[in-house]
Amino acid sequence: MRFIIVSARIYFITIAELFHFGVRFIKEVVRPPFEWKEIARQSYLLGFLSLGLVSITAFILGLVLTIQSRPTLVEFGAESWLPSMVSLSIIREIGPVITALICAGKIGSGIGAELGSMRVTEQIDAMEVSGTNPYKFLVVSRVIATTLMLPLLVILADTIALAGCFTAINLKDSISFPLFFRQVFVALNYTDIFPSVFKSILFGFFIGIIGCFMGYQTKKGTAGVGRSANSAVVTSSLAIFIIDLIIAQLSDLLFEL
Amino acid sequence: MDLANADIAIHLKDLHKSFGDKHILNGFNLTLKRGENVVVLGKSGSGKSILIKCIIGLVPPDKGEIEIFGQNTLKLSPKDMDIIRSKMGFLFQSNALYDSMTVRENLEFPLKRLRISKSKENINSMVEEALTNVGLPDAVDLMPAELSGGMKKRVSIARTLIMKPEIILYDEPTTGLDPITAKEITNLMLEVQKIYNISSIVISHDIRCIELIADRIVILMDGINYAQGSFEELSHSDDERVKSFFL
Repeated sequence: MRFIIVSARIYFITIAELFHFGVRFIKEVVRPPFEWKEIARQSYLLGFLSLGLVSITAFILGLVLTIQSRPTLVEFGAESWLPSMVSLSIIREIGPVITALICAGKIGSGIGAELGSMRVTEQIDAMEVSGTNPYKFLVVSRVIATTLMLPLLVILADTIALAGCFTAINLKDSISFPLFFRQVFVALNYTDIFPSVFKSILFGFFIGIIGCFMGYQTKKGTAGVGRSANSAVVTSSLAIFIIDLIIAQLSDLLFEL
Repeated sequence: MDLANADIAIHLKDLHKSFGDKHILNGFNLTLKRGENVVVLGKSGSGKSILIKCIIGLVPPDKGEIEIFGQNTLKLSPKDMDIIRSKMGFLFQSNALYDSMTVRENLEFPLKRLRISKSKENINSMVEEALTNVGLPDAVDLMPAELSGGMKKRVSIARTLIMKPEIILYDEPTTGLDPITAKEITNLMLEVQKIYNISSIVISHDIRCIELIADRIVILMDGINYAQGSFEELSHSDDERVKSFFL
């Protein structure tokens, strides 16, 4: 019982600290000076260098989803619905969530480990004692970069997953690109695309802020760095599913999907 | 600031700090005059590093007053504290060089952030001057991982000096270095003190370094300023606890 109470206490304290950390971001992000160069560097490191991994995963995802959905649709004689059904699944749910989970693993753990190692080697303290603001340089730039880059990665992943879908259909059947393109866009609506982009922005923000929070709070040497990287991935993955659930409910209420 | 206090760089009054049940500082008092080198001596875990981290504002004390240039830093806003910090340097035991940046970027970092100079040429000449003063003019484009322990310490001193601080806090500057490099670093500390007329608080166990550098030695024991005096006075003290540091 005591263990449960202590764990619950630590959990709620962590949530409160994370909330304060996020509030500080909102205060610092609008306050000059702005670290444009660092934001651009982080966008390159966190966004551009994730292109390969995201693209390969998205292509395989589109391909596999199409291959596995086809037999059921064939059974119901609805094979022609394949592009529409797969595109809806990808754009609404699978594209944003899988891309965000990949980024939580790659980017979130990277941020947690980098800042954690800077914390234990006193590099963050060194920035602070030189009279500069380490939060602004390290946290604000990374969170802006992940918030901007994730929707772009999701849009790219969606496009490549659709290319995977097109390839998979052409492995067994034959469909022209204009017909595939038309079938995809007939099924899609703004109410599918807008919530998807909006939740990608939230995923990016939370991956960034959780990764930075875990790294910034690192204690107890190199073992602490490992724990921070691990917590960054676990917590941001959990946050992705919670945000996904909330956005799905809100979209349902607002757009009657 | 009145004239009587104009000569005082740091004044610590009744400083207390505890971690749980462990009392680290128990009413510590210290005054550092401008241009003076004070060495704080104490056993490992006696709270020497915590003391200088309290001074620079990295660790908040539980009780007491910290006055730097006549200002009580515990009552300052973060912005005003940054102004005080920009007049101070802190040399970390681990050097704390930014390992994703080159030596040049390490030195430029505070200059660019604090808008010390807007001109690229001026920043370059400040970086070159600081590196020349520590004897490393050719290390400008190296990464910290490519430097030896002694070189890292020198770059760390250069990064501290580039802000032209009036006070430097050294946390065990010669620990982990071989005796020759340790002596070179000690001489460098003396040299930069002469060039820039800096006041300093040095945390050290290195008796050879202490003998060369200390104007005054303060012994931190049981969380208080247990004894103070010159190297000569303390090394010949009748108190066995004091004397044991110099054996």
